[in-house]
Amino acid sequence: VKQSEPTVYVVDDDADVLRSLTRLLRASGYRVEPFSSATEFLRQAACFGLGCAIVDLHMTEMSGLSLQDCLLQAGITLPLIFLTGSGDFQSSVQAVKRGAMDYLAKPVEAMNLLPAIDAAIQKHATLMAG
Amino acid sequence: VYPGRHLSAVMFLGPSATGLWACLIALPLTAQTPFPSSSGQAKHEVLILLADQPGRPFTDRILSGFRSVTMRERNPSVSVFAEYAGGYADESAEVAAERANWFEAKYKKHHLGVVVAVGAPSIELARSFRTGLFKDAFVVWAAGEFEPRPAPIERASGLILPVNSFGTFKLAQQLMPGATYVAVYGGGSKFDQPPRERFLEFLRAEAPDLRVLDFSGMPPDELKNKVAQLPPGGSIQYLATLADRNDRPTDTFEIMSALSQSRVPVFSYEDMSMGSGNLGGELLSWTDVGRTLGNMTLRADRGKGVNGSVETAPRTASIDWRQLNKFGIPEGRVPPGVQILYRPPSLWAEHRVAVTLSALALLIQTLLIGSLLAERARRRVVQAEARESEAVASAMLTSVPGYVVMLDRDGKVLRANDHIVAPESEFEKVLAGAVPDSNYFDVWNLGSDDSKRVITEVRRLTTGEINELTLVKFRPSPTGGAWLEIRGEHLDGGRGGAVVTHVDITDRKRAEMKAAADLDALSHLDRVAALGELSASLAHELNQPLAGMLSNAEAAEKLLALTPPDISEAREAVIDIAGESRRAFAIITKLRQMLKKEQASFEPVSLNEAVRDVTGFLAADAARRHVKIDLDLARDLPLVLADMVQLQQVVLNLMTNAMDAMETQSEETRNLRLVTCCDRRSKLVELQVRDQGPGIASDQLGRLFEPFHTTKRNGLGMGLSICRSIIDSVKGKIRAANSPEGGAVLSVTIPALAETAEPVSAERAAL
Repeated sequence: VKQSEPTVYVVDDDADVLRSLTRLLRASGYRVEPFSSATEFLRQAACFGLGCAIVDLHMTEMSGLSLQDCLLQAGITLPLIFLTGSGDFQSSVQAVKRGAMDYLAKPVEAMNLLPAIDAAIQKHATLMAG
Repeated sequence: VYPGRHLSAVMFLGPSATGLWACLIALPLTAQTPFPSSSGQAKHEVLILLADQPGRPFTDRILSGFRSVTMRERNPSVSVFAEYAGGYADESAEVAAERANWFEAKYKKHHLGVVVAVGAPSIELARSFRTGLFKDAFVVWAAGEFEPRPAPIERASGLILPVNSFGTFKLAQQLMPGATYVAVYGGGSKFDQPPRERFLEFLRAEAPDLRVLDFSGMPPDELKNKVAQLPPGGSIQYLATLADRNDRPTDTFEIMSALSQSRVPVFSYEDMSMGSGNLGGELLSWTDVGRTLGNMTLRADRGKGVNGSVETAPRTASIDWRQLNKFGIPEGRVPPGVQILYRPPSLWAEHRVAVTLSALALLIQTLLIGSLLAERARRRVVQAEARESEAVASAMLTSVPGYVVMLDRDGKVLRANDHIVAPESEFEKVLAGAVPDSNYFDVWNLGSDDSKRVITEVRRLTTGEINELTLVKFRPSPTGGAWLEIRGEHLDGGRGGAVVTHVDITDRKRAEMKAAADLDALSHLDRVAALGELSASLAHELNQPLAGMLSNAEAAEKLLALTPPDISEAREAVIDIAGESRRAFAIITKLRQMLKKEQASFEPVSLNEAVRDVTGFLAADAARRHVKIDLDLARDLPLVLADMVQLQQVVLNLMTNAMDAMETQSEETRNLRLVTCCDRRSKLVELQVRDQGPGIASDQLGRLFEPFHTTKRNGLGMGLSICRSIIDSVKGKIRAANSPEGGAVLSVTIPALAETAEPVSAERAAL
C-alpha cells in the first residue's frame, strides 16, 4: 500500500450497494476498500492513510452517526461522506454539524459523488499536512 | 214255643225299626224269592228274617242293601228268601204255632246255608228252629243297641245296631250352642221306653241346666199343636218310635210332618227322617246295614263266617243343608267329618259339560269381543295419533319459513306447504302445490349450470343415491332472482322420493357478501394505512437496489470507456444491475399485493411463509427502529385455508404493533420474537408474536380487538379489529395476553388443513 495513494473506504451493510459503489469508484480510478459494517471499518480505522470514507448513514448494526462518534472519540480525522435515504434529513444535518464532509442522497450520481470524494481527500491531505 | 211270637219277646232291631218288629203278620216274600225251591239245590240258599212287613221303607232299605251285595256277585251263588218273622202285634199262640208250621212246611226241603235274623223276634224265631229246620245254617243276627243282647247261638255272628241319640244331641248342641231347651219326642209303646229313658237320663247328666220338654207318646195331631207353640231358642230331639201311647204304630213321615210345624229345628238319628225335616243327626243307614249283613252272609256262605264275632254297624253324622239354611245356622259350626246332604248341587256339578262348554263359549266370545274392543280402541288411538301427527306435520310444514315440497321418485310434487299466500312465479306456484301434476325438475329446467346441478342432485336424492342434500343456489327471475338454500332428505318409503325445502336466503346472502366486501374494503384501507406508515422504510428499501443499479450502470459506463475497456467487470456490473432490478421488482410486487383491492381468495397457504414475507418487508423498518426480529418457525407446519394477503396483513399488524410497543424501550431490549407451532391434537396452527414492551394494561386486554379502540396517539384503532375479522373469517381465534417474562403475547390460532405441510423446511433466523 503506497502511502501517497489516497484510498476511499466504503461502509454499507447493503451488499448490493457496497459492491456497486466499489465497482464505480474503482472504474473511476480510485483505490477502494469496502466494509460491510461499521465495526469492521472501525477495527482498522487507526491505520488508515490518506483518503476518505463513504458511509451509509442508515445501517442496522451500528449507524453512520455512531461510527462518526467513534472516529471523533478516537481522534481520527478521516473525512466522512454520508449517503442518506430520502427520509434521513435530520440525521444528515446532525452529521454535518459534527464535522462530516458532506452528505449525499441515495441513489447517488457519480457526477455528484466523485467531486465530493476528491474534495474530501483534498481536505484530508490538508489536515494531514497541517 | 218260640217266645218271639209274643209281643213282649220281640226286640228292637234299631230304634227306627221298632215299628217294624211289631208286625207279626206272616207274609211270605215269594215274589222276592229269586229261585224256586226245586232249583235251590244247586245254589246256596239264604233266608233273611225281617221284623217288619215288606214294603215298609225300613224293610226295603235293608233288603235292597242286602241284595245289592249278594246279587252283585258275577255269578250269584246264593238264592235269597226273605220272610217276615212277626213279633210286634199281639199275636195269639195259635198264630205263632201256625207260623212255625208254615216255616216247617215251606223250608223243610230247602238247605238253608245262612239264616239272617234282623231284630229280636227274628232272632228268637231263628233260635227256635236251630235244632230243626235251621240246624245246618250259619246264623247272622242283627240287634239294636238297647235291646237285650240275644242269648248266644251256635255258629253265629252278630251285628249291633247302635242307637245314636247321644251323638245326635251332641251334634245339636254344637250347631245350636245357645239353645235353652230341648223337646224330646219318643215312642209311647213299652218297646219305646228303654231308648227314651236312656236318652232322658243322658240329658240330665250331660246338660243339667237345659230345660227338657217330653212330648213322648203323643199322637201326631196333639204333637203338631204342641210343637207349634214352642218358642225359638231350642230344638226337638226325635227318637225313633215304634208306636204312640195308644199303641198306634208311628210313621216316621207322619211324625216328621207334625214336628215340622214348629219354629225350631228337629234333630234325629232316624235314617228315614233325613230329608223330611230332620236337621241332622248320627244316622244309621239301613241300606248300609243291609250291605253289611250281605257281606257277613257271603263270608258265612263261603265257610269263613267267624263264630261268635260281633260287629257294630257304622254310623254317619249327616246334616240337611236346607234345614241348616232355614234356621240360619252358620255352616261354620258344622263339625268336621259331618256329611252335608241336600246341598243344591252347583251348576258346575250338575251340568259339568254344558257349563264347561258355555263357559268356554262365553270366554271365547268375551275374548273375541274384548279383542274387538281393544282393536277398536287401538285403532282409535292410532287414528288419533295419525291425526295428531298429521296435524303436527302440517304445522311443521307451515312453520318452515320456506317452500317445502314432497316429491316422488320421478320428481312429481305430492305435497307442499301451502302458506304462500299468493304465489307469483310458476316456480312458486309449483312449490306451493298450486299446479296439479307438476314436476319439480321441470321448473328447474333453466339451462344454467346451477339449475342443472340442482336437478342432478335432487334426482340423486329422490332415487336414494344420496340421503341428504344441502345446496345454495341463485335462481334468476325477471324480478331479480333469489338465493335459495335447498335442503333435502330422502324418503325411505316404497315410492322413494324426497322432502325438499327451499329457504330464500337472499337477504342473508347479501348481508354476508356485504360483510365480506366490507372486510375486504376495511382490510384494504388498513393495509394502505399500514404501508403509509411504512413509507419511509419502504422508500429506503426500494432505494437500495435503485442506488446499486445507478452506481453499477455508471461503473459499467466508465469500465467500457477505459482503454482497453474492462469488459469483464462491466459485465459483472450489468449482471448486478439485473439482480438489483429484480430485487426492486420484488419489493414493488409485494407492495402492489398489499395495496391491491381484491376479494379475498381462500387457498391453502403457509403461515410460516406469511411470517417470512412480512418479516422481509419489515426488515428495513425494524432496522430503522432498532428492533431485532427473532423467528422460531415450526418444521412441517400444516397449511391453513386463508387469503395470503390478509394473513400477511395480520402478521404485519401484529409486528408493527409489537414494534410500536417497544418504541420507548432501550435499543438493546427491542426484541421481537415470532413463533409458529402446531397442536396436532387440536389440529390448530398457532402464531405467537412476543414483544418486550411494557405489556398490555389489564383494563385494555378485553377491549383490544374492538373497533376504534386504540392506545396510540395517531392510530385509527382498526388494526386489531380488522385482524380479528380476518381471523374470524378463517374460523380462527386471536387473543392477547401478557407474558410472565414481560411484554405482550398476541397469538393467532387457525384450524390446520389435514395432511398438508409447507414443503420448505423451517428455519430459525435472526434478521
